[in-house]
Amino acid sequence: MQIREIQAILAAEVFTGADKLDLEVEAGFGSDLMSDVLAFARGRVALLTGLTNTHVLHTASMVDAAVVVFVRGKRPDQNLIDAAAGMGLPLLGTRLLMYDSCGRLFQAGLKGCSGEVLAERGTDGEKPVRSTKEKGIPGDKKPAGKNPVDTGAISGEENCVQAASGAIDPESVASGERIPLDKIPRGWKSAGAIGRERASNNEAFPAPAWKVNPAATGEPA
Amino acid sequence: MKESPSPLELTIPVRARDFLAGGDGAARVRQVLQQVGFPPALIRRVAIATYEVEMNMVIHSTGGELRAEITPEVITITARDTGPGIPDIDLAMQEGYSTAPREIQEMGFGAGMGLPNIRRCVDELEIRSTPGQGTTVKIGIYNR
Ligand SMILES: Nc1ncnc2c1ncn2[C@@H]1O[C@H](COP(=O)(O)OP(=O)(O)OP(=O)(O)O)[C@@H](O)[C@H]1O
Ligand SMILES: [Mg+2]
Repeated sequence: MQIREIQAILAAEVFTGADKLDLEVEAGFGSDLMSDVLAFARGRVALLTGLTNTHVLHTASMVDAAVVVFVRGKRPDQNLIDAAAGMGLPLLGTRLLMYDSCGRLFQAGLKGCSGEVLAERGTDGEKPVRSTKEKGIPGDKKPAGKNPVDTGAISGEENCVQAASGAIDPESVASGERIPLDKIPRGWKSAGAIGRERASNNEAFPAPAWKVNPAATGEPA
Repeated sequence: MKESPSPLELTIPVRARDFLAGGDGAARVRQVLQQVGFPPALIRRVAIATYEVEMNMVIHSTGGELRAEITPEVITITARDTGPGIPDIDLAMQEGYSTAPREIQEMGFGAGMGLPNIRRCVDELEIRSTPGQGTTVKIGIYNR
């Protein structure tokens, strides 16, 4: 679905990104809790939310959202609009409530992000959400006490990036204990301090000196 | 074997309760990864995990420093803060557990999904915390 169609279905105002309304959106996601967006958004989503702060823009950027739609008449301030314009992220606003907005888009054929949660597998390189289900409803389990943290490693799953066994040293998570900070867990590669970049808040960052894949960055090697 | 280029290192200060600058560190790391041409799926995992640790420092800690070390093989993120520490890490790792106060929840945080999100995105995770002294979260993501 194009952003333009979303705008029409929700009778939405365009705050910024009027030149990007032809972009395709793969799925929709509605939430006011940004960690849920970070956890479960898949593909180029339209993010529907009632929040209008920088947390929303950062979250949209981290998950590569195609567009943010503010629901229930929420209006972003000019700083937020300018920031989104700088990022090339279109912002829309509708007077419809969250449920109605999502319902209309879903009815028009824009799917949600539950598919992979239900199918219990991830195709995006992130680990499947299966451990969620095994844990049941948040809060229905008693605290694990001083047991080692479950690294979420699941065996025998396709498309599954696993936490290396021993990634979390059980001793080091027993809180209150002093563990020497120079103890480097196995699997870590140490690297020298060459090519160091330092940043204070407004200092300009130099361009990186090397490329993993020059073709992907559109620059010669 | 081809010799690896020297690692890129970024050090970004993170101030407690600075919701304007909070997230800039993760955005910067993401930008560098794009500039050097890492695959988008990997960049997404690093960006999400880095943003979650950075915002945890902004929300829950008295401030600290975010460090990224980038080589073609592995991206290492270290978030170190000066307090107050996490009294029970097992509990903090549970989905839905959050101590975020109401005014922070109203900003869209406090789902208690940050640490579980990080665990889902990374290959290596180490959390060390001493109440009263601070927390160090170290993350590793391999490029393979
Ligand atoms: N750097 C830190 N210093 C002190 N406590 C922390 C730190 N990081 C996390 N915590 C504690 O662990 C809890 C769980 O963290 P987590 O990131 O999973 O959830 P959250 O930050 O509360 O909510 P969300 O990340 O979903 O917005 C926090 O509520 C807080 O009590
Ligand atoms: Mg968090």
